[in-house]
Amino acid sequence: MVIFASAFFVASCKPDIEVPTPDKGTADFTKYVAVGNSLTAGYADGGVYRDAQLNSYPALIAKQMKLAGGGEFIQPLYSEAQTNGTGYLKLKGLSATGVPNLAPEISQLGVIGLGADRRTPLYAKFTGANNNLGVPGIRVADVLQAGYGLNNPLGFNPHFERLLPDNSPKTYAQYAEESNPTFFSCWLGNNDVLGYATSGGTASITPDALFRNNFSDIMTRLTAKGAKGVTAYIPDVTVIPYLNTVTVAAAKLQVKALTGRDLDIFIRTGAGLVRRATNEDLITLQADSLATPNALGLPKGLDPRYPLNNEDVLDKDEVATASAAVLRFNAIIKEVADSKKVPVVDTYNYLNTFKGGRVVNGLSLNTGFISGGLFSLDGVHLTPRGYAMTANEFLKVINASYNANLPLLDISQYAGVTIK
Amino acid sequence: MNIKKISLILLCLCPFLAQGQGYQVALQGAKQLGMGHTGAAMASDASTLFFNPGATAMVKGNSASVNFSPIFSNTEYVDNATFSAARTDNPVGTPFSVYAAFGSSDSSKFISRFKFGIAVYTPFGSGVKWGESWIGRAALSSISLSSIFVQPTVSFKITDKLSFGIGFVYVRGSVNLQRSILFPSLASVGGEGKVELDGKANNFGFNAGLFFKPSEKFSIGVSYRSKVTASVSNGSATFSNIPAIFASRFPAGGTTNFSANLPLPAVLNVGVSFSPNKKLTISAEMNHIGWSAYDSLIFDYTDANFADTKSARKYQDIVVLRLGGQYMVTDALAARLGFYYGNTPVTNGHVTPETPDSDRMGYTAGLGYKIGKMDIDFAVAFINTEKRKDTNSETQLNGTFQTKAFVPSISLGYSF
Repeated sequence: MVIFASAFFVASCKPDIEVPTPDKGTADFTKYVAVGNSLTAGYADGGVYRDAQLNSYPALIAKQMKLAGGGEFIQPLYSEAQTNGTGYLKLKGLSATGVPNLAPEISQLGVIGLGADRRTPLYAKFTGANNNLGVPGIRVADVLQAGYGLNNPLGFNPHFERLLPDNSPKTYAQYAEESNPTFFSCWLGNNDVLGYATSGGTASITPDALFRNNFSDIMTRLTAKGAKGVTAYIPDVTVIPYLNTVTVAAAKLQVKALTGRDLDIFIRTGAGLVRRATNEDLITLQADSLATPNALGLPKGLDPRYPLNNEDVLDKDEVATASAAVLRFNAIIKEVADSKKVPVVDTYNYLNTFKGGRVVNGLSLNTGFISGGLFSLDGVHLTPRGYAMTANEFLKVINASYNANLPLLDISQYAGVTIK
Repeated sequence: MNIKKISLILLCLCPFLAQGQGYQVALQGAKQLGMGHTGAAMASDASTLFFNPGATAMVKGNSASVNFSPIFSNTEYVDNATFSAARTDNPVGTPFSVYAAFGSSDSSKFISRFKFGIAVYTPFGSGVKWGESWIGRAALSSISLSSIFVQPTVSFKITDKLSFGIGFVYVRGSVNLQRSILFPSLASVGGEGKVELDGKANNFGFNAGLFFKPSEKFSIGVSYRSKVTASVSNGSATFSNIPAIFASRFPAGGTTNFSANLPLPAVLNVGVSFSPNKKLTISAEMNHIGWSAYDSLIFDYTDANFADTKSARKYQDIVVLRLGGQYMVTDALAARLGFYYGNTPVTNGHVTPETPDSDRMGYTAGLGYKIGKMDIDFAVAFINTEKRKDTNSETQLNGTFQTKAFVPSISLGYSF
């Protein structure tokens, strides 16, 4: 009796905190369109696949927008039957010393043939209505390029090709403009310097004038009909695990484990010089042939006569060149965005706060390969958790700039790197 | 009194949730609870051993009483960032107290000025269970904190109007704290680790008081219970479900010992009681609680490779104001009402899921009935805390907490 009475009283004195109501503020999320590159497409683990697409940061942002009147967000998803899309890397496990065992997933791909250039794969088409315009590989330098997505013998971008009807020479900027968003995100520019960084400084960096012209052009098109939106900076390409996992110090330890001796690493710099590597030189994840002997018996990278190739190393001077280009491009992004009154998400400084490790909601995250939690198995693109955090940074800026009140994502509900 | 039997009972009882500010539990007698938990200025019965040992000497005859006050509480949390809500699934708290006071009835002898007593009570504790799926699980999934104070006491009537008492306090406490461990990678969502910290502590203190009753209508009481530091010296920390790649970040074998100090703060009570006529008593009281003793929570781990943690708590001293009234409906039946208000010891930036505290108000009511030498007292308390919005400076947990609680209380007393 007393217990029943008590239970009644307990029930009558439950706390009642009002849950905030999601609100769109001054923005209109009826048609949100995401313009961008591989990061926008949801690229992860070296490929585009259905699960990764479902977890793209624009899809996550759209999910929150839906709580405040946002419309449907259609993505160019690979079908369930072709769920592995372009194929990607899977982590099968780690050795006792922590070396990852990576295996490519090559079943159930969305590859449907080979392009007219006889080398570019053709992917399953998706030419219908689309809200996620993320095209892996695209640079700001490419957005006004006619035929960029046209299957032709000189080469093309197959990720853009799959979004266009056959024989369409449309530019990416046109394609973006025709999407007619009420709200857009535009995160471009990474590939204008990333290719240089991941190729050890052998690929080119987009000239500033071209970057300014093209970025300004696409932003003008996106805002022409009064759409509101958000853009973002290029993160520091030199902090990615692709360039920071095989550090010179780690390589020396590896060599010592192999040979029992303290040996120097030799590299060929961008200037053609062969010299001893220092901790300021960044060896790429692809440079895995260290200490393998050549025909003359010289161990790779351990003898000045057989140094690590220029493309295996972003040397100190090249690091400076890449970093400076990122800063120049970000200044252009800021200038163009200001002129269009579009707010900028500071993805540059945000990523840098994780260089030394940082705890977010009880999660200790850093920019390390696999164990860091942010970067996927390709060492360049993000994990589901990394994309959720990116979405949160966009949502914060959208909330602040448009007086909106969209809830953030609980990042603990999104995985880091997982063993599959 | 069979001490062994009592200690067996104690072992069976669950821990309880904080029902005073911080992890203090102000539920030590149904008579007092009905009157807003005022008691420093009333020489009611053996429960004075807790409220004011100085007043025990003024209690007529010998008396013993037991009290039990189950706590039904709920805390809700709404996250400001994700708008997600969580609610505690707290176990029913079980604070209790047992009192006995006796003395010589031969008023011609000096010894009759003394009263001797023993009190067992639970003035600090906490039992909060958030579970392992809420957003703040890395800060806390559950905590259970309990303490038992055992207080042998002597109280002395200096004059017919003034008395003094002092008790030696032995404290036995235990703590069990559980948190989820989130891994940056290599764990599926839900495949999280867990740490359980479990420890016991002993320590000593005192409880002393002065009671002054210049007239039949008026009395004043002052009591002071010293701070006791619950020092856990050999607690066990157990880490489970740790992926191999992160094992090196945790103690070898997943276990280590720890030490930690949790202050159970000093309490100063000043109360006045006024009876304008035989039927009515009004009592007012102030408690000053030295919560500033809780500056930080440090876990010092034995495993040298596992970093110690230091979390700021930065509590502040607080004052609780209490007001209560009793009306004798008949000679045997008493009706009581009370109210109290206390500010919170938890400063901004330091609200935690273990003590999601804020300023609170308590509304109490009670009935007492005398049958011969028996006293039966009932009381109920409704406790309502203000909504508290905060961002914790350590965990960055950013949201709004609110706690409500309902406490029925029963005391049985016997005078002889």
